[in-house]
Amino acid sequence: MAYMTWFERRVIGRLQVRLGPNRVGIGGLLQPLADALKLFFKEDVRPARADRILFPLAPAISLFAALAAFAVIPFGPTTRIAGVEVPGGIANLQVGLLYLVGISSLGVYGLVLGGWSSGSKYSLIGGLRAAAQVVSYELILGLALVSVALVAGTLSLEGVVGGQANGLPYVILQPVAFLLYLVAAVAETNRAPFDLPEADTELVAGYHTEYGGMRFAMFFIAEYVNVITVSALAATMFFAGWSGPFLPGPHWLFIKMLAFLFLFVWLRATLPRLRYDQLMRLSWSVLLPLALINLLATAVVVAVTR
Amino acid sequence: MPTNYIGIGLFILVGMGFTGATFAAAALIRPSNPNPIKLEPYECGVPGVGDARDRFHIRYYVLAMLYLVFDLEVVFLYPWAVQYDKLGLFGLMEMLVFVAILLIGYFYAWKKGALDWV
Amino acid sequence: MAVLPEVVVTVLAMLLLLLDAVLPEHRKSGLTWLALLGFVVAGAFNLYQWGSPAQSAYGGMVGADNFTVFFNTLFLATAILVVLMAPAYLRERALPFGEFYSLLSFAVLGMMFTAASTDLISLFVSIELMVIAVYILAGLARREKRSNEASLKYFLLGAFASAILVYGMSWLYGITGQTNLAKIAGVLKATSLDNPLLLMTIALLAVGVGFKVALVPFHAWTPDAYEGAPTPATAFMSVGPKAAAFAALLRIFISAMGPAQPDYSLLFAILAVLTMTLANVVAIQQNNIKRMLAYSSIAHSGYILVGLAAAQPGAGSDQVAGIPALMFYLFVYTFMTLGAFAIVAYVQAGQVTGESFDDYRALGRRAPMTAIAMTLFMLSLTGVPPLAGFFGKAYLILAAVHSGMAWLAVAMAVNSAISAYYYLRVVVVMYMSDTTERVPLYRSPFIHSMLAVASLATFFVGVFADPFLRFAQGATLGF
Repeated sequence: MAYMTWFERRVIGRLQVRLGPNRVGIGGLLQPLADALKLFFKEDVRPARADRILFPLAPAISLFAALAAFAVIPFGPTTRIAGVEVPGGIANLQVGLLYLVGISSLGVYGLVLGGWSSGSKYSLIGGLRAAAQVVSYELILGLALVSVALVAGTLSLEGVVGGQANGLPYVILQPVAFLLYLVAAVAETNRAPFDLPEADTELVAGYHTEYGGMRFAMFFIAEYVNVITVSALAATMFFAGWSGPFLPGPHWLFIKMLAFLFLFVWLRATLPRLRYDQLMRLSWSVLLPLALINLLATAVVVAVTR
Repeated sequence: MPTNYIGIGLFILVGMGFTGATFAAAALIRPSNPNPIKLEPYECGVPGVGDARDRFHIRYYVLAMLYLVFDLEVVFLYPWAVQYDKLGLFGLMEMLVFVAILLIGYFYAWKKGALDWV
Repeated sequence: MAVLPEVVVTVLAMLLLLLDAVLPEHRKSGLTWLALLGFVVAGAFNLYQWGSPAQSAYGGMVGADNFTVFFNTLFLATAILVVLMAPAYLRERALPFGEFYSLLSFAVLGMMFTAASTDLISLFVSIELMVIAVYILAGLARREKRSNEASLKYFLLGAFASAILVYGMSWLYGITGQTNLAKIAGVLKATSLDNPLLLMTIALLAVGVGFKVALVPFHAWTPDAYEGAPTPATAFMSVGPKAAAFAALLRIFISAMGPAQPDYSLLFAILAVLTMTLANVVAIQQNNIKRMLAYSSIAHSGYILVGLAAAQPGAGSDQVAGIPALMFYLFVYTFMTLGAFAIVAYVQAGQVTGESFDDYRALGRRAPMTAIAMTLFMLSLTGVPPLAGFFGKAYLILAAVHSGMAWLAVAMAVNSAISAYYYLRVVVVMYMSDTTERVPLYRSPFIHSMLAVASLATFFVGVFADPFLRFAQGATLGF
């Protein structure tokens, strides 16, 4: 998780024809540790106008929601050890997909409360933007995933992977849903080119302007955990998750996730930030109708073919 | 399978524990010497003006309402999608009516400019 | 198709919404015709269902029986009359046509489903659909402070009342374990009724619905909301949601809680007396005609409630039973109140306010036909024979006497006498005072035909009361 930062900085460095962090440890591998230590020792400023309870709580909510969402991603098939069924992940819920969407949407509380409780205008605007953006793209995410659930006929992530292991990966059956998911996922995690809530050129740092030290680190980690979760979910929902030839399940999932993580970093290095009205128009006037049409088309096709 | 929720519960506890422990550890070792200037809200070098908890634009509220409508729709769609095979043609028709009603509202909101962000 | 009228109104509401979004501004007044057509078609489908055996739809959530047909007739008649009175007022004040008709249709839809609900859940959802549309209708003149005030007050108190109502429903569910009204009645019949929880439930439900029909301790929002809302919306609010709330009251307290009638009869009798007395006394003080009519509408809620207090479940077809008297009075009340508000809208249309009694000076000379119609409505509201209002009150008084509550009948008669003071004041102002003012009255074929229909109904329902009473009696058979 922490190595995500190292990965990102190295890859971006390479993409921008520089080296990236390479001094601490071999190839900069100890850089994240050094960063974490630095943040540990930083003074934790709580502004005079900040809300006493919500201000420290917000980053914790963010991180907690990000971590809890990850719980339902299956790493491998369900196995039987000594007669007990052991799920191939932390948990295999019947409603895994719903759980994931639900829990990850709790994360927006962290952003908006953090923005509001700071008592700073930049933070407030950042928080509002974050809320509006996350909320708008959550619809797209939800609708894209419903189309997949319609094809799979289950909300259990195990079941979704199982359905793909015996047939085609859903990226082929649901290409539009995949693209929608990809765009929505980038927006959901507030990553470039949709990083308006923390747009540093206009909002200083958005909702975490007033945060420092470990509290800032919480927001930071939460963002990366979210990126990892949506990558894992993309791999699971559209690329058959852990299933694949030769290698054991977790390896496959890791490889597929890594491809998505690279994509996230690549996007950040390549694309300029959208304007806010473009962002909202893309979601409400383009992606939402597209997602609905895709869903209805899927429903009709499923009805005809089954 | 309620046993699966034990795993989730444990994971959530670990998540909370990690968050709490990090905060606690940081609180023990970090310095703390606040002064009034440092505790001012951030502003690029000039004194800040006014309170941040001011009124903000109504379009955020409009957006929140639209979101609520459509998010509920999505939540209704999940069980429908899972049971789709059993519902058959009836399920398709009912959902078409449901989505059509929502689309009328969406179209109205669009035409009335609720989706314009400038 | 048990819900065909409702489907027609649904389609109408959405069609109006869509057309409002796409039509150019100057074509929107044409939506009046569409709204009229939609309501008339729904009304035809509705009357066609009269007398057919009771049906149910949506898994027992909604029923279609004579009770439903009766109330749907009432609601659709209200809607048609409001659509007829609205254009003149809306055009003068530059209020949006499409939204008004569309919200009206949604409110009517909520009302129709309220009367048709046979389950607590659908009942609550329908009531909410109705009132949320009406909150917006009250605030439709959004550039006017009073309209905003009306909408906000109505919304806040209404939301509060809804919370109490749904809390009461949850108690009812808790006691009986059922949400279906008929099943609740079955459970209540089988169990002991001296249950303190039941009294709590009755109290909560009475408060919740009491807010919606503006009974006296819960009436505070009414004058402000009625005064501030655009007059056609006020007319609608004073009739439609009130009748629907009474339908809900009947569904809850007769269909579901009929066996507990001895427990709540006295409560409603006391509420009725409080309501009519306070409202009539306060109405005398009013100089704004909309506020006067608002208090008058509260007073009439008190009269109508007498019917519920005097109800004797199981005696549905009795000539003077409480429920048919209540429903007959609602029918009468609809026409005379809508007529009175239509005249307020009519007198207002060409002016800035036009709401005070002074604006009615010498109306008898300036607009003789309008003044005659207004006189008719005022006399009927007072309860002067042979107009419809008289028979409505007479049946209610008879019902009260027959159920052994003579004191309630006396209170109602005394209150009618008090109310004569302020109703007749309007007539006096119209005929026995002079004015130099020469504001021309707005001319609109819609409002003229509306006034004609309302006056004829007020007159003929009185003179030929029998078929209408039998209509009301036939509709209670569902209980």
